[in-house]
Amino acid sequence: MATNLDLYLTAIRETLLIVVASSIISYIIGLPLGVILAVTSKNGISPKPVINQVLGVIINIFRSIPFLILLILVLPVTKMLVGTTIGPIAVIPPLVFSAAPYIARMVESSIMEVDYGVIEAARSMGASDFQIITKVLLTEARPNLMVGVAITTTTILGYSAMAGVVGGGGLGDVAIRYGYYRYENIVMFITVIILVILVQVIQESFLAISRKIDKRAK
Amino acid sequence: MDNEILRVENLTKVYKTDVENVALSDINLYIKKGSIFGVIGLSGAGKSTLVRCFNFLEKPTSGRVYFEGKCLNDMNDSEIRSIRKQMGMIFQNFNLLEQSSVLKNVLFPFEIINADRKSSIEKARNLLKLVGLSDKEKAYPSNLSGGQKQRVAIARALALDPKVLLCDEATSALDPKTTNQILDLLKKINKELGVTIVIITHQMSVVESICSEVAIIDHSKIAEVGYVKDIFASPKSEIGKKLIFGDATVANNLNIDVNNYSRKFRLVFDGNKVKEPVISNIIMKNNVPINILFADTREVDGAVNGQMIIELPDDKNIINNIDKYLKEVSVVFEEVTSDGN
Repeated sequence: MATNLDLYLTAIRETLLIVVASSIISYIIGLPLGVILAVTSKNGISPKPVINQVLGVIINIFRSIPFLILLILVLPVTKMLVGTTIGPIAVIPPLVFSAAPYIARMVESSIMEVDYGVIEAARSMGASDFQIITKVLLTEARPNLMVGVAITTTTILGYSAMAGVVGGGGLGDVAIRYGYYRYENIVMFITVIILVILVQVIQESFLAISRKIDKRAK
Repeated sequence: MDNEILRVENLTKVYKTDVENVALSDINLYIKKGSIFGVIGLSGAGKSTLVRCFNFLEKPTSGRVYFEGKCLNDMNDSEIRSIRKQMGMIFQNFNLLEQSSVLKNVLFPFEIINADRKSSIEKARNLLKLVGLSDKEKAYPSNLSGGQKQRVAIARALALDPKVLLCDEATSALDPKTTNQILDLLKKINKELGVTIVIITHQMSVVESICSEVAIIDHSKIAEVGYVKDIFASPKSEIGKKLIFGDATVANNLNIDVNNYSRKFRLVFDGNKVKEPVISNIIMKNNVPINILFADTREVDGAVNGQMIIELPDDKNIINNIDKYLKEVSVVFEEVTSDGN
């Protein structure tokens, strides 16, 4: 079994599917939330303390639930959303629940790092808050946001391996089923190696992109 | 006051943090269309807050702000944004978009008003030509020197053909040579494009070299306001004296001579009017020894202004004679007290 290439290829494919899909959906949710957090914060361009605090508390609640627990907690939601609770697709909702709030905080901190002077300059030119968000905050924060993508996707990759516990498919699933339940240590070892390589490749690619698009003095 | 462009009435700004902090207190000021108006003060005097009240980046706590006779206090957000488009602004730290090329930075204001792309690019290139950076349009701010960055910022501030250019310590981060180049550029913009320029600075040399009028701000209040040449010849406020005779004050404090038998006087003369050898005449007429403690000339608004601090024997007759003579040749003559004023 340990030398069955198909097993690993399928697992890698499933893992990549889980990671890519979860990352994209998480960003679709997390990016706007992060922007709202940054914009409504005390030092943001449009401070709204109530919105900021309510959103902050909700995000913190999701962030403090351990992923393994969240995985089981959201099972009914998963069933409702994707119609099943097993297989790679079923892992995506809990990963999104876990990653989106994390992304929101990352995006928030990237945006907060944009120099206040540049925002003030845009304001002095008559830019609206929405224009400042799209044309100043998000563009100036691009390299930092890309670092965030590197960290988030590799974290999602790590979490996706845990999904093996609920029969979620992917590399983690293989590691648990073959490596742990059947005592095939070599399978466990190989999947771990593959995970390590994937993390390295993904992380370094996004960091390289970040460095390349960053036009600040190095 | 037909030709006024900016006016503030009873402007007060208080910041409420843990304690109340009065940044501006009851400021009244008006700025003429086409002028170069300086606002000078020490750091913390409130001048940066004042310039931000002109375009409502800071909302005054009380008092009114008028642009071309229209009161900004009565406007809603979108009306204020349209007023801001008629006032360019540049900053001490340039505040360029670090992740955008020089050309994209200058295009930014056009993007805000959703202007036609093609004509925007053409206008942006013309502006870069005006500030002398045509060859840098593809460069990024991090590859530019401070002076070049400020030129980009000026091009960007001029993009929407503003009527006023607000300069907040625009030359404070630059070396003296670059400062002069930027000031020359501002002068050119004022002359050729007719843009009214408001300059906030703590550097007297900046006011001297380009401003026609100046307001001196001290401790949140206007200490003195008027034509630069008048204020330079005889500043009335304490802070004015400090700023203008700054160097001379240092000379006083050196206590070059503090004996009781002599008195110190300041002479201020307009280099273009005073043609006589004043000091020689005083010496020869009165047969009196003169000790020159300090001398300095500066160019103020096109005129050469000189000031000198001299030491004379404590003799009432002689001093009266000298005073009379100097009045005839229109040289300001006043005693310098020991505290440096």
